[in-house]
Amino acid sequence: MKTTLNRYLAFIAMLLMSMAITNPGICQKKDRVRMKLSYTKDQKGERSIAITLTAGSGKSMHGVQNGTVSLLAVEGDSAVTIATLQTDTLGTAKLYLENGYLLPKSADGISMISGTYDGDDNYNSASNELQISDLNFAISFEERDSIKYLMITANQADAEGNELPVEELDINIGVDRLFSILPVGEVTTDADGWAELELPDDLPGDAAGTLTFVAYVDEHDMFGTVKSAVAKDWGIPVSYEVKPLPRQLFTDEAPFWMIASVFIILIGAWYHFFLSISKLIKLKKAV
Amino acid sequence: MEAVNISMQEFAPRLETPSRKWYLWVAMLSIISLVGIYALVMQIVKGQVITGMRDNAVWGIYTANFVFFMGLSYAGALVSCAAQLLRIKWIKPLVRMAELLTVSSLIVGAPFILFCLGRLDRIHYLFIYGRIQSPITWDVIAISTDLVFCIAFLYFTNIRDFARLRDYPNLKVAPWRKKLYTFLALNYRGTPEQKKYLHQAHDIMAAIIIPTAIIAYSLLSLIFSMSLRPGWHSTIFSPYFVVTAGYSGIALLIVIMWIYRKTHKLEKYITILHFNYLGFGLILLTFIYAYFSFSEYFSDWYNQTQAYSLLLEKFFDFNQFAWLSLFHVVFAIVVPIIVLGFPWLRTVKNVTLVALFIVIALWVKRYLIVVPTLETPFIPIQDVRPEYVKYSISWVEWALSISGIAVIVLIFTIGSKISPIIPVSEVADVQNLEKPEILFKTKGE
Repeated sequence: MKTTLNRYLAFIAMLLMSMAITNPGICQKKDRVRMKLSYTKDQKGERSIAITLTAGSGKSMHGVQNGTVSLLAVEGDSAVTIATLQTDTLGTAKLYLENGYLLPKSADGISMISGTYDGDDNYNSASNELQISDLNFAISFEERDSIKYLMITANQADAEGNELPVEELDINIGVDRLFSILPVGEVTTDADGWAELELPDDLPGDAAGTLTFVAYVDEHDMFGTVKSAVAKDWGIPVSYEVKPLPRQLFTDEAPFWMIASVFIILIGAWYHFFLSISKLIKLKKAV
Repeated sequence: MEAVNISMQEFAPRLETPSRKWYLWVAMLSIISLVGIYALVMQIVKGQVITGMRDNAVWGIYTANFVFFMGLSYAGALVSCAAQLLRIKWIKPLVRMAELLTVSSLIVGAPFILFCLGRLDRIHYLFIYGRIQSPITWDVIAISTDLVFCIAFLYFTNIRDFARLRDYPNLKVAPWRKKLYTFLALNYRGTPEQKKYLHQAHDIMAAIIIPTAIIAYSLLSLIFSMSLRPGWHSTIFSPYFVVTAGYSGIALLIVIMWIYRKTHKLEKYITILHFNYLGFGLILLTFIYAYFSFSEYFSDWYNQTQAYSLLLEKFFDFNQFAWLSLFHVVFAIVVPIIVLGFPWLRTVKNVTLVALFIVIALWVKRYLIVVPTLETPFIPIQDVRPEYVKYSISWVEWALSISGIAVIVLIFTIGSKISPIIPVSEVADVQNLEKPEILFKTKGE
């Protein structure tokens, strides 16, 4: 009796095992997910936090679509949810911080943001943290001995709002162009958070010679991506008046010889047509 | 041509009240045409997504039809105008068929290029914003000019028959048709002065239609040859197109001749001589066509640039276009040379059958010009769905194509009910050995 029971139990166990092996819901291995958080402050002062969820590696690397990510502002032991976002087809989501919105800061002016993704049937959970320190640039210009300089001061604000200089910060300087920033140079701030760059004097500007100088740091560990822009009429004025295009095959207006040829052929053909019609009119009258 | 007795008495009964069979035939053709109109409406409403045309193959069977029908029209114009200008007597009984072929294929063929347009509602932009530098603009001008000229020429050759019908006392047709004949006959009474004017009008139109048709068809080829695509960018495309047009048009004329000969009992007017002469013309064109085809493909093959090689490989790949290529070569070149080349094979039926296969093979040739090239671009689109690269004909395209053929047959059916399919007056001229005025005269020594 006991042997028979054991046989039944063994059979049931084998059945359950085979179900576990064949059922994708049970046996499927979930993909590991990586979360990347980044902070950006553009030249207009607009701030945003971008989240990217990726899974797989190498050629199979892909974004996690429709993943729900919670962003929390951490202050000491407590955390406040500031947003819940859903990733797009590329696995990215972006939170734009309204102007004037203050993130909770520690005493040294650092905001701690935590992102969490709970995972789903296909993906494991993931989390990451981001430290943000609000960086500000002050840009000014000066001309000495006919040489033009751009001067920049980098400051960060502490919890009380006091401006503290940022030392040893590498800042890129460039000129805003149509599709990207044209690099002009790189400076490193001193103990006062100050640096200067000698500007070339042959940069083409708009019709009034205006150039938009951009100071920026890219994906800095502490400050994220920060940009600041100031316009200055130190460029060479360039007139962008478009000269009328020649009469060619590839322009709007056809070459004269082509128009003339087409009209001569058409006039010749239609002249003969009407000539033959005139013969018919004469035919009708000649009774 | 041997003199035959011809009079309106023989042809008038064919123009009188149609039989029930005739009405049934017209109804059937009209239904097929309506199916085409339904397909067109569906295409306009749902867009070109219901056709086989996609990102790569932006043209398909419509463009092949356009080129094919334009070619037929060119050949019809050439035959009828050459007969007029060169005073070829034996061709006279075929002139009306040739003219009807020209006009009907122009009317049906020209709209096919419009069916390729994604936004038919913007068709008037072609006239408002059309660039004179574009071969498409040239084509629009040339084809519309050609159409007007060919309709005028068809009318010119009918004037004397309209006058005969007006004057034929026993013609049992509706009064409005009598009035129509009177109006269209333009007071023609056959006075020497009227004959002179009609001859002049005829000659002028014939002289202008031949170059117009050649220009129109050459311009059609420029749409292809002025594009930088493998298989299209060729200097011999214009003469190649003109020869192909003449070849397919004369082949179809033989088929039409045979049908009318059988159905209308016209053995007296369409004789074996006509099949002999046109058969001879056909074999001559077969050799010229074969020569052009060889020159075209041989130079492409010898170049061996990547895209050209890929295109030629497709013509030899039985999973791609090899069956169609084989069909084209066999029935457009090999079979005509064998059947028309040996006198014991050259019977009326064989000539007609060969001509029919030539017509089909040359339609296939137009398909092979359009589709494989579009499926083989110099810079292929990356990571695109296979159905976007490979063209396949949808029911909408088939429906419009078949209805196009139905409309041509309908025009022939109705046209031969309005005036005799054999131009009575023209043939009577030959019978009466009337000496027409010669167009170009030298002034002695």
